[in-house]
Amino acid sequence: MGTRKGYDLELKEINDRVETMGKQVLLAIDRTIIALEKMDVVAANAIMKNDALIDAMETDIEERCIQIVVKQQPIASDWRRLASYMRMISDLERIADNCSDIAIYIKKLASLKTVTPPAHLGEAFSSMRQMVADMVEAFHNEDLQLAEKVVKADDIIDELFEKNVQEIRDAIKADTDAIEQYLDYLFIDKYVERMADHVTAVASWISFITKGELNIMFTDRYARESKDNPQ
Amino acid sequence: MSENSKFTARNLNLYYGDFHALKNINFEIEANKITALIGPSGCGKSTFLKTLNRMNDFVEGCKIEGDVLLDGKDIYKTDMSAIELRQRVGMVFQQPNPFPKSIYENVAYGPRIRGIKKKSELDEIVETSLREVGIWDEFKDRLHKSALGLSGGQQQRLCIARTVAVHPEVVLMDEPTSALDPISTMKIEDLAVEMKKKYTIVIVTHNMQQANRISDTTAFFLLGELIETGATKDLFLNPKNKKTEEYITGRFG
Repeated sequence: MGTRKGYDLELKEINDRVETMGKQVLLAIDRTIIALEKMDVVAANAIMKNDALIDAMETDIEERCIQIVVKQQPIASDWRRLASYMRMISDLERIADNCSDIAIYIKKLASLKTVTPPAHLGEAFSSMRQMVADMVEAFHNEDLQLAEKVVKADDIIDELFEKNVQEIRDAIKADTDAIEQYLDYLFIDKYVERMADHVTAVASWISFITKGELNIMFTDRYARESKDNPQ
Repeated sequence: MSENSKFTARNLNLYYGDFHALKNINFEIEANKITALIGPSGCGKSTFLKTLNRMNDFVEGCKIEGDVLLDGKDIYKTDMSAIELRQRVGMVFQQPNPFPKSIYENVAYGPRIRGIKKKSELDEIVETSLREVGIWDEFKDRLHKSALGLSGGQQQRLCIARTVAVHPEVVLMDEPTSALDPISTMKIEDLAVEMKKKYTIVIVTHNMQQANRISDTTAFFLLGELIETGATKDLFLNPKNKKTEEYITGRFG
């Protein structure tokens, strides 16, 4: 044992950096939730500025993964980890992007007349946030059960997304002067739903790391939506 | 024993004097597949390879128990001679070992001692064998030059041509590329993959990437025991045994 000390240290370093990136993404979500609640333009700008940090983390981890693959030719569990990290960080970075996308809409909403947000948006946001928190913990502990819980939770977000769409539709009908604001909320709703898809993908890589089973969770929405409906 | 089994080892034990070199090996080698034997030095993988064509017969104090079946017949308990066996089960070694003869004579040697004397027939075997290993065009204008003047990689491919010239069923390869440069190594690997259509191949290698690249099945030996065997694509991605994982990822050995 211990014949590849430098290699082991670098693998551990990459693993720690992926975890740190996950925590940073969680922090970005927390900030986004608060900024939306308070319609805080300064906080929204800070979220967008902070995105560069998360981008840099992705690039750093990606470069380290590429280097270690070239130098050490990892196989077995080492390779499963590295292949997973490279996919995970891409989805994590997209979640952070979505926080910035939402920040843009927060700024827009703050400049318009205040309307009541869709009733289930807060719930969708906090449920998605919990998925990210659980994913970070599942990654740290290599907890397959918790990772599976994250994957299952995606269905809840999908339902909440639909409820919000319905509420937005009703609200627009009731108050046509506030179409702008409700369209902004519609986009935010959609981003939250996409963020849940990304965290589901990240969580599903945990089963590849721990068990070697490639069981990537893709959304089944397209399969559902594309069914021929005879009615 | 499965239908596609070429070799079957059953409760195989091998001793060199007091040293227990192979411990109760049970293993099937599938026909027309490449089976890689991996493990640290002294683990028994080369010893196992040599039991398949009775190369251990030369080793003093070597005692073998259990069965080694080739197409269902025990190679140690039939009237099949070692010479006949080695015609069916050819071998390529770590160091290319061409005879100090011409390229032509190296390939014609085996067929000649098996009684083929007609020049036209030998010519045809030489050409076919050299074509089979992809070196006919390279060598056709210098067939009567000494094989010792060839590069290591060329010599190794010539040795493979010499092996296939007697139409074996199995080709054993004992670290066939460990003395070769990367380009020659790739040529041998490509050749092995091509050859499995016709032959069963068993290869001992210290190169994990090589085992991963070319073999269908991999067997991991440690201290004379067969620790794990399985489809190569699974074994190198998700080994079941912790010792296999530690060895293939270079954490001991």
